[in-house]
Amino acid sequence: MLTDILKVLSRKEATLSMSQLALEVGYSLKEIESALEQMEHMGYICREIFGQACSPSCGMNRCSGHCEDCGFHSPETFTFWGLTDKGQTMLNQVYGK
Amino acid sequence: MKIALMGNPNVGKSTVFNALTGSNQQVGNWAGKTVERKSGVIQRANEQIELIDLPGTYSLTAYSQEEIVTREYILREKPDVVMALVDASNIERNLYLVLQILELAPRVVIGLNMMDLADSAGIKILSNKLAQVLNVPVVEIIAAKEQGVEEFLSEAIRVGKLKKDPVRDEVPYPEELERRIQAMEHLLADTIWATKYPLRWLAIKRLERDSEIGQTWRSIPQTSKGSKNNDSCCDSGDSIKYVLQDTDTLPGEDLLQAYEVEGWSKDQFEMTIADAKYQYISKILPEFKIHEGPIKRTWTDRLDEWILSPLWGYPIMLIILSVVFWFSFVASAPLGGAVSDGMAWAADMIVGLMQKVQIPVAIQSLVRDGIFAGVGAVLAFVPQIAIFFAFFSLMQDSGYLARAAFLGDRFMQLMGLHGKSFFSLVSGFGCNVPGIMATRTLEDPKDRLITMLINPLIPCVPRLGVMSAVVAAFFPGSMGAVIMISLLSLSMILVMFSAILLRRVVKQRERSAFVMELPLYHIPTLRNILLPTWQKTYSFLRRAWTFILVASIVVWVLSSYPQGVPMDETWAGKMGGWLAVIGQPLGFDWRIMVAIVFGFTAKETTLSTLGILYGVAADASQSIAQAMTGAMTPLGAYTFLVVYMLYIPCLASVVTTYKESHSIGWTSFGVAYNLLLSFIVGWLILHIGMFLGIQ
Repeated sequence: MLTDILKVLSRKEATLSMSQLALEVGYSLKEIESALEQMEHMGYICREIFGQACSPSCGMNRCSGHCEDCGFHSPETFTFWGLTDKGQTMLNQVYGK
Repeated sequence: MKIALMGNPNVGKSTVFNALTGSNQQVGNWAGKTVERKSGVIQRANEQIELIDLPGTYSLTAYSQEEIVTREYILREKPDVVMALVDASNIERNLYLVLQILELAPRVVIGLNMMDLADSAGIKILSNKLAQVLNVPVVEIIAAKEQGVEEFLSEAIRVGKLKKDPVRDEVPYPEELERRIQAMEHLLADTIWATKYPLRWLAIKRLERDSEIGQTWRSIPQTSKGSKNNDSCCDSGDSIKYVLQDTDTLPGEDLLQAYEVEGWSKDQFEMTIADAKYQYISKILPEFKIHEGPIKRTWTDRLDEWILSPLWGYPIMLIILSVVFWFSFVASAPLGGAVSDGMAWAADMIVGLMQKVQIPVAIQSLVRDGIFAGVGAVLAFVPQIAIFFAFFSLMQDSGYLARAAFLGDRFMQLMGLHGKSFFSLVSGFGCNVPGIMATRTLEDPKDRLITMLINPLIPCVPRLGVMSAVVAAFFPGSMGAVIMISLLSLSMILVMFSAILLRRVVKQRERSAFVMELPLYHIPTLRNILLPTWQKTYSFLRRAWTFILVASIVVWVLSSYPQGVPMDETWAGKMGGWLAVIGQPLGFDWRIMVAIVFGFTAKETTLSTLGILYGVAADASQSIAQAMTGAMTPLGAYTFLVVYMLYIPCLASVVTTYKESHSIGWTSFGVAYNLLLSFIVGWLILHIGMFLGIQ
C-alpha cells in the first residue's frame, strides 16, 4: 500500500483528491488517511499548507505546515500531501531497480 | 505486577488510567525529555499493580521523543503486560501500533475503546474475531462511561499471571524480506543482544539500522531519597532518567552492505516492513470490521459527486463564478453610485467651507478636482469590492473554494501548469503581491519563476474594480456580467498560453503529483465571512487614503500646471501627447495613455487619474466611466479593458518579483512580456472587432 501511494505521488500528473487516491490504490479512505499519516511520520511525504505569505520571512520552510513566523495572510489556504526528498529517493530505489 | 498502558494519541488512555488509578497517581516527566510520565498504584485483591501510562504514539520507531520513551520503557523495564488501547471507530490507524507492540511485548491485552462512537458511525467490530485473528485477548470498553474498564484490567492481570508467553503468528512479510530477516536473525542469535531483545524484532531493527539499538542505557530513578543503583527501576512516581552507558555496533554490517548493493537500503527495509503491516491490516480487517447497513454517505460525498464531476464540475463552477461576479460588479453598481453621491456632497460641503474662509482657489481646486475626484473615484467601487471579498470568503468557508481550485488545477495541468503553481495563482487572487510571495514555497526555482511571471495576468481586485466601473458604464445590465466573464476567461486562456510558452523558455524540472485534502462542506459562519471581508476591504481603503491620495495630488498638479492653458497643454497633456503615439494603434487618446502609465504606481490610480483628466469633479453629475462613453465606443472600451487587465503589474508587484527572483533580467522580461502581450492582444481585439463590424 505505501509503495503504491508513493508511486502515485511520483507521477507527473495533476493533483488528486484523497478519494481519488483511495480509488487509485484500491483501499478505503480511512486506510489511506492512516497510511499517509504514517508515511509522514517516517519522512517520506509531508503535509503542506499553502497560502498567501504575509511577510518576507514567511513561508520559507517546506513541510512546516504553516508560515512559521506570522501565519498566513488570508484564510484562503490549501492543504497538500507531497513527496519529500527522502520519499523520492525511496521511489528511485524501488522503481529504479 | 507492572503494567504499561499504550495507544495512539487521543484514544482515551488518560480516561482509562484515571478510572483505574483514581487519586493514586503521580505525574512527572521522563527526565531529560519533555514527555509526561504518569504512573499509579492499583490494588486488586492481593495484587499490587503499578500502572504506567506511556505517551501516546502512532508507532514504535525512533522518530520522536514519545516513541523513544515508550520503546525504551518496554525494552528496559519489561512490564508484565501491555494494555493496548485502540479506538474502535478508527481501527485502521490504531492497528499499526498494535502490530508493533505485538512484536515487542510477549503479553498484550487489547482494549477496544469508543465502541459507542463506532456504533453511531455504523461500524461494528467483532471483538472475538479480532482476538482470534491476532491471538490476543480483546475487551470492549467505553472508557468515557467507565464501561468495561475493570474487565480490561482483570484480563490484563490474568494474562500477566500466565505461566507461559502466548504464541502468536507473525505479520507475513514478502519472501524477499523474510529471507533477509532470517539471515540477520541467524547472525544475531548467539550474541548478547539476543538475550536483551526479542530476536526477530532485533533483526528487523538491525536491518533498518535503528540508531537506538546497540546502546546500553542505565536507568536512574530520580527520587528525593537519593539515586538507586539497581537495574530494576523505580518506585511509582519516580522520574526515570536513562543514561547512555555504552554504545556498541551490532554484528551484521557486512550483511547490510551486501544488501545495499542488492538495492535493500535501510529505507527500503523500513518501507517494505511498514507496507507489509498495512497490507496485513487491510487483509484481516474484513474479518472483524463490518458496516451495519449501507455506508452512510455524508453531504460532502453527495455534493462532490456533482461538484468534482468532470462533466458537471466546470459548468457548475462557471455558474457560481458568474453569479459572484454579477452580484459583485453589476447588481451592486448602484451602491457605487451612492458612494459617489456621498463624495460629491462631502466635496460641496468642504469646498463651500473653504470658500467661506477664503482659502485660495488653487487649494480649493486641489481638494475638489484632485483629492475628491481622484480618491472619490476609487472609493466609489469599494462596495463592489467588499461584496466580492464577502463572496470569496463565503466560498472559502463553505469548502467550495478548495474544490474550485482543485478543478482549475486539473484544467491547468493540460497546459503544464499544475500543482502548487496554480494554487499560488489562486492565493494571489485579490492582489498579485502576496500571490508572488506565495511562490516561495515552491521548491523548484524554475517553477517559482514561471509562476511569478504569469501571476500578474490574474487580475487583482483593484483592477477588477476599475474594470467593473468601466463595464457598468459601457455594458449595462446582464451584459456587464457576460463581459466580465469574457475578460476573466481571456485572462485564464492567456495564463495557460503563457505557461506553455514560458515552459519552453524556462526549462522546468518535472514535478510530482500532489494529494489535496478537500475540507468537508459546512455552512459558513457570519464571522468567517465578515472578518476577512473587513480585513481585505480595510487594506484596500488604507491604500486609498495613503497611496492614492498622494498619486491624486501628483496627477492634479501635472494636469493643472501650467495654469491658464487647456488641459492638453498642461504637463500631463504634454506627456500624454508623447504617449498618444503608442496608444494610437489601440484607439487610445492621451488621457487613457496617461491614466495607464499612472496605473503602474497602483492600479486604482488609473481610475483616479481618469477622473481628474476627464474633469469629473466630485460635484459633477456624471461618473468617470460616463465621461468616457463620450470618448470611446464599446469596442474601444473593451479594448481598453483587455489592455488594462494585462499590461504591466503595479510597482509593488514588480518590486516583489525582483525581490523573489533576485534577477533584474527576469523581472524586466516579465514587464516587457506583459506590455507586449497586452498590446498585441488589444490590437487584435480592436481590429477583429472592426473587421466584424462591431462598434
